[in-house]
Amino acid sequence: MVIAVLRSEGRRFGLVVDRVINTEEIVVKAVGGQMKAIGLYSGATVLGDGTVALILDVQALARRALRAETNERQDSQKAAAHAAAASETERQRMLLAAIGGGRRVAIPLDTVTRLEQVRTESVEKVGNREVVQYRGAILPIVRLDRHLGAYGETDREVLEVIVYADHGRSVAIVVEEILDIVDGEAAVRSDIDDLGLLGSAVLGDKVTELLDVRAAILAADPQFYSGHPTALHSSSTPTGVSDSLLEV
Amino acid sequence: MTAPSLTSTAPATSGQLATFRLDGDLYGIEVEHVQEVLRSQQLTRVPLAPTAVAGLINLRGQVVTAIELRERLGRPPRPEGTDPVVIVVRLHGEAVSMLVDSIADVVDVQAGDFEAPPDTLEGPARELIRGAYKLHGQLLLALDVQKAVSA
Repeated sequence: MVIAVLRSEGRRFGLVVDRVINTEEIVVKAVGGQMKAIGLYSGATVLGDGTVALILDVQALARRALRAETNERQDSQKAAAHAAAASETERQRMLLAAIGGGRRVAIPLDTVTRLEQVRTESVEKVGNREVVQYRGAILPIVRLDRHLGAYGETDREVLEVIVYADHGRSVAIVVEEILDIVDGEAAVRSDIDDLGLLGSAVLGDKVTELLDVRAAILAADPQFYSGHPTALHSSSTPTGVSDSLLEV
Repeated sequence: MTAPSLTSTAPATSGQLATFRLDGDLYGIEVEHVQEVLRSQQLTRVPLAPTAVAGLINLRGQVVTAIELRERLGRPPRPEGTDPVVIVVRLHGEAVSMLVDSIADVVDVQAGDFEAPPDTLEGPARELIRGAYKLHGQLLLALDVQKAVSA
């Protein structure tokens, strides 16, 4: 059995395939409305021998395959904690990342747009700010270890980057390592925090710092929210993020 | 006679129909929709597609969906060993293709020969057939090509 391991929206999953034939540079061709409606294919391409190959929409595939699993868990969860169902907020998934010095930080997955790897040598400067060229734009970088006062390794060749985008602006949050994705449901929570954090919680058996995503983004791009003042207003109190995460 | 209330897409119009055979019957579509007719092509199947989607074909580098018209019209599958003919139509700028049994002539039709779909027409076909033109000795079923390819 051959399993192709894919990563989509911060989650890894395996695709059982018969056989891997080749990797190829291809040109994506548009497909008709009937094909789009299936919701599994992002397009098609014509291979060298003239045959048509389908291109899987990995994100849609992952969502379709993993949704069933999530629903099952949510159902059992609901049955167990029916009385405590005060909040109607969906359970939030958290991305766990190491930032150096043995510290772990949790970031709400819905604020994560992409996970990328960036070569350290491609990091450039704008004044004292670090930036990287990304998809035709200049992406400001915040190194989470420095932002949160941790001591990360400094001589890494490849940076693990969490890209966050909103209203057409993006920032890159550099972490030491992407560890896991967990349900943001913490049995133990605390308001013990530190600079740049919203508190802490026990996630995956370990004390994990809850990142103040807004503060981290502003550290990378002070103008990030200024384009849309409503967002500024609604999330200006840091509790806006942590409350929805930590409902128990 | 043409009723004045009918729109321009109304069935009872005169003009030219490109005709083809399917499971023994004669069908026609407006000739202006037809882009080209091809011999049987290699099909790439599409898992989880509607059953009427036979697959994708490579039309000179362009990827075109192929609709199995037998399936669409609720007819039995094409007998083993017979290859379909591919009619490529262009609708709203997008090329789509239909698999039929064989291609026939381009026929001039008169609005006066048109009749609403026969009562005997049932099942999925009724939606897709605009009506029938009485030709000498046989009926030419006018296919609503737009509906036929929106599987």
